[in-house]
Amino acid sequence: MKREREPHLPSLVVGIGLVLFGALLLLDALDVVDVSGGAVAPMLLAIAGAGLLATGVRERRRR
Amino acid sequence: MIEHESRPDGPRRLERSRDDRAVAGVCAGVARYLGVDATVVRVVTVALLAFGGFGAFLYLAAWLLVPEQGAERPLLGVIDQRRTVQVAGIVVLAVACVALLGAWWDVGFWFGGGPLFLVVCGAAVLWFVSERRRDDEPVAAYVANATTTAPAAGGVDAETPAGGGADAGTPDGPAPGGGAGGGDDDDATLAHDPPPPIPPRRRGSWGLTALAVGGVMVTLGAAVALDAAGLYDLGWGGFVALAVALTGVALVASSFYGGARLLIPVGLLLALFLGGATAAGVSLSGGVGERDYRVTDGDDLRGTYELGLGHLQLDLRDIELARGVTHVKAELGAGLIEIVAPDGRFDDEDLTVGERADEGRGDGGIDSSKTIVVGSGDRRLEIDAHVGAGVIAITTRPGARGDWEWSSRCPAGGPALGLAGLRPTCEGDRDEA
Repeated sequence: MKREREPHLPSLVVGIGLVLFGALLLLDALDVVDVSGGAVAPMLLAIAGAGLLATGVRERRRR
Repeated sequence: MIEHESRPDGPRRLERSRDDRAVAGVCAGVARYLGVDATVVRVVTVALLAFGGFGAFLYLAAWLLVPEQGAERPLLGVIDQRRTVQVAGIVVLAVACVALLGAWWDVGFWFGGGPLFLVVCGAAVLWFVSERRRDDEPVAAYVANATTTAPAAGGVDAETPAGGGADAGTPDGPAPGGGAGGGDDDDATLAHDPPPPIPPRRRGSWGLTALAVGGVMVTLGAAVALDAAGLYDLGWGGFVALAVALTGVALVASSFYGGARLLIPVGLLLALFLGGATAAGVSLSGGVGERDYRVTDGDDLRGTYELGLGHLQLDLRDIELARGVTHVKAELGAGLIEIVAPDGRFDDEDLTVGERADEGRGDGGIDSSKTIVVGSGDRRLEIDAHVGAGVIAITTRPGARGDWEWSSRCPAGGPALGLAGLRPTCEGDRDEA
């Protein structure tokens, strides 16, 4: 029987975060929006935090 | 630890380890050959990296030229000679095409070198990974056969894309772990003693990570080349954004197909350093290093003074300004912009002329912009200075950078806090030197 494989949640969350962040940077490079340098750190912290949360959820599920 | 020598009666053979590898098993293989701890060899290799990357070249050469444990031929010879020549021919042809296109569009022989470097590196990574997988197929087939039914040893050779090398390296002996002793004794095709077992390659997520990184590099290199060719104008910030987004896509994909978890720190670091630099307006297009300009005639002023990373100094002590207001831009990615002008001041300062003559002052942080005014009355120079990450300073003499006392000028914590943008302005003490 084929066992359904669950996606690796932290990779998924951080990946989606990076895609959104990259899209934002792209819009900044194209002068559609203006992303200030100071906003980068909070955004990345949020992505890293979401990744950690996802790791916690995953560990909890595995137990 | 499994001691394995593929030719017990011959001289010892240098092989890359399969079961004790950090990257390609070179260090563990050398350690096993020399009879020393693998950590020692790894430390030496890392130390050699400091000597102009010598360790990296050595490692790469060993990766290409030293066969893997149990394999007959090295990585370069795993696929048959004809295919190797074909691949080499395609690579040479591709490089020639890139060079020709570069010359055609008049954008430099190698588009500045960057895109080609990225594409070649990415292709190399992809090739290495695909070769590793190809090299694994016969062993995996063997292990599967040996663990199910003993007389199925012939099935190993059913699919041999790796050519003779892989065949020769394919073990006919027992499977590692389980089927020790095997059931091959009654197999008529095996008249000789079976070679010792090959340990399974230690698997990590680095292979998929390398694959993803290679894919990102190839895509990025192609994007840079197209940009250099003038098909669109994305710029350095756009490429960084593309790299971050592609890494994210690779992570999302890997979460379903295998979990390249190593991409998480890679992506976050990429986003932190390059994304942060881009958002802060750091551009490396102006070059790297120290750039000093001394201008004595206002008519000789350029419209823009630019540097990517380092120290940009504009010495205006003896300048004779033209009549009217002259506007100049000073752009620095990261580092120090130093305007040497005794009567220079920030446009939002409120100091008397006497104070200004003796003081040096600076303003720093991330994505910092200031306007510096030199001269007065109807002969004025306005310098619009921008630094992505660093300091904009006004000094009274050149070379004052060496005397730049961060602790006294920025008593709250020096340049680190300034660069972090935690303290937007730091005004200096008297420069007594």
